[in-house]
Amino acid sequence: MSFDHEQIAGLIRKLAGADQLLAQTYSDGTLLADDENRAAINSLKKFGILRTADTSDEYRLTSDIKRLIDRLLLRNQRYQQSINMAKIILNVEEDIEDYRRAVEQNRQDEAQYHLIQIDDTLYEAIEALENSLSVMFAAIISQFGFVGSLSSKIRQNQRALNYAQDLVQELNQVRINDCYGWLSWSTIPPELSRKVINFIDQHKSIVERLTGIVGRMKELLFKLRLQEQTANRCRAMAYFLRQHPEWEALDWSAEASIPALLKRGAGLALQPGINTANPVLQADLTAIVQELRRQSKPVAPLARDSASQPLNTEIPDRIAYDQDLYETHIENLFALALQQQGRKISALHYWREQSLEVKAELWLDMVFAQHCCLPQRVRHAIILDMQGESLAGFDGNQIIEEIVLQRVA
Amino acid sequence: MFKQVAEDLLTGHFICPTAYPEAFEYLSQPANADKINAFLKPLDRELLNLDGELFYAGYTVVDDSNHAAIREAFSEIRSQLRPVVEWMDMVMTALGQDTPIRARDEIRLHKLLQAIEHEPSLSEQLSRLTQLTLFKTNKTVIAEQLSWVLQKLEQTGYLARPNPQASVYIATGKINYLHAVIAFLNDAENLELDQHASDGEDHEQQELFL
Repeated sequence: MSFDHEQIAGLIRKLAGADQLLAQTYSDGTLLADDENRAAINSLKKFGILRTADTSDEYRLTSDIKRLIDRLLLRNQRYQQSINMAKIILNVEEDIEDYRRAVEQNRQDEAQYHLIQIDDTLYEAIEALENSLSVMFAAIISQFGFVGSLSSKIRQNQRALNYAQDLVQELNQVRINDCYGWLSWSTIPPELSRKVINFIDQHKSIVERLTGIVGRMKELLFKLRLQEQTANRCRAMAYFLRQHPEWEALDWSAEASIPALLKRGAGLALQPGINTANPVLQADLTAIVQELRRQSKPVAPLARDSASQPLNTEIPDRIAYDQDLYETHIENLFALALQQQGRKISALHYWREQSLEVKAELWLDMVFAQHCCLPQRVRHAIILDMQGESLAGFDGNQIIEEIVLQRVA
Repeated sequence: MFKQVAEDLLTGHFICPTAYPEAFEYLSQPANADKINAFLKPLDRELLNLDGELFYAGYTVVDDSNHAAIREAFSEIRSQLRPVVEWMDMVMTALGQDTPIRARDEIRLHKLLQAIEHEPSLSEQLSRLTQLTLFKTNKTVIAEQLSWVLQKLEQTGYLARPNPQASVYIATGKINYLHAVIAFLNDAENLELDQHASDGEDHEQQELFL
């Protein structure tokens, strides 16, 4: 059986000429004949492109055309290919034998024909398996997304798993050693050995991937069944609760050995404090204080659950290391001046009397400096008479040799 | 991220991809999970994982110092069990789905509302739901009742709303935790829920034949 180019071109033209009609039939499944399309339908029917459906006016694509479109558009959702590996292997073996004979008898045309037959058979077998695998893989990835309900997913998964397991068995029918046996031919042409080795490699790869798919399908089936169990249990719990409005779960947290699932706490209430002495935080802290000042409604302080402590009302003692000896002497000097109203008190006399260890100049400096720091009211009450030689060339500057204090108010 | 995750766990949050996507991603890295576990260990806690969908901190030791906290956490779940289970049952019926509501599931307010408004038994179920303590309200309009219920579920951490302006809610890992609690109660209190489920199916099938 041979076809000439014109015959093939005529078939392709026929398909192209009825593109819209065929696309519609492929999408809708059937095509209804009317006065406008009847002639085209009859012509397509003659070419074996359309066939009559259940009723006389309805037509469908023939299975060959549908399969061709399915395969070309990769829309073949059916992973269940009827693959009979034993039969395929037998066909290949027969073709190889015919090919060998033709080569040995130097019948080139016949040998070429058998080689194409071998190529087609091996290619179709691998392609069918690859398609099947890719659709199964897509089904796992989408968790059988082509069906909506959980029960349908479980059924589909179960069917796919059964099919995949059967396929593994089917592929095990191929004995790789037998395939290598096809090559045990002293003058084997390289084009045949390439095809056979390629087939063996692809077969090995498919078996490996298929084993992985079977494992993943089992895992997915387990997960889907768990989901089904969870859903059923949830439904049953709702039903149970409606039937038993008085029921309440026991307080399992009071049990001596609390189940692991319930060993969780209500959670800590985290309330961190701020280290105000940390200079790094001061800028942020100031910003927070400013922000709080701007609030029209102040934020109430957090209620603390800590136990109250009685307030310590004892007057704290002065801390010794906080005292400054000379600050105390100067305070005494100022107090003396205030007590001795109108009388002049000499700072140097006090220095001598108390036998202070600092030098007289430093003492006088400290008295003057401390006087400047006094509150305004006290400063005005005590005036200082600074005595000493004026410095030549400096207007108003002098070396202080004595300070006399006197209360004036 | 360590600090944030540690604080979330200590404050009792369930870390799932819906409610805390970044924290979940962080804990999904084994090295990070180990770091957090090492931090929790001296605090008598450990990082726990439920179905690969949820992380939470659980106590490794139970004593007087944490017994009250455990009791409080269980009391919360126990008080929410009835209303949340009733709500899940209503949603599954309304949407005609046989899959359980689990983390990452989308709940669309309008789709649910449409289903409930057209089915008096569901409207009645929703109304009953709003009488339960968690969802208690005086609202009588179905849309308002449903919206209220979903808000309450969001507040209690069972749902999250990625976009506060939109009406799409997403179930959080806390739902999965509740399913685990139901399974535990079923076993521990011999509720025979799995038996109820198959009985229920038989009963439904018998009804179909009658």
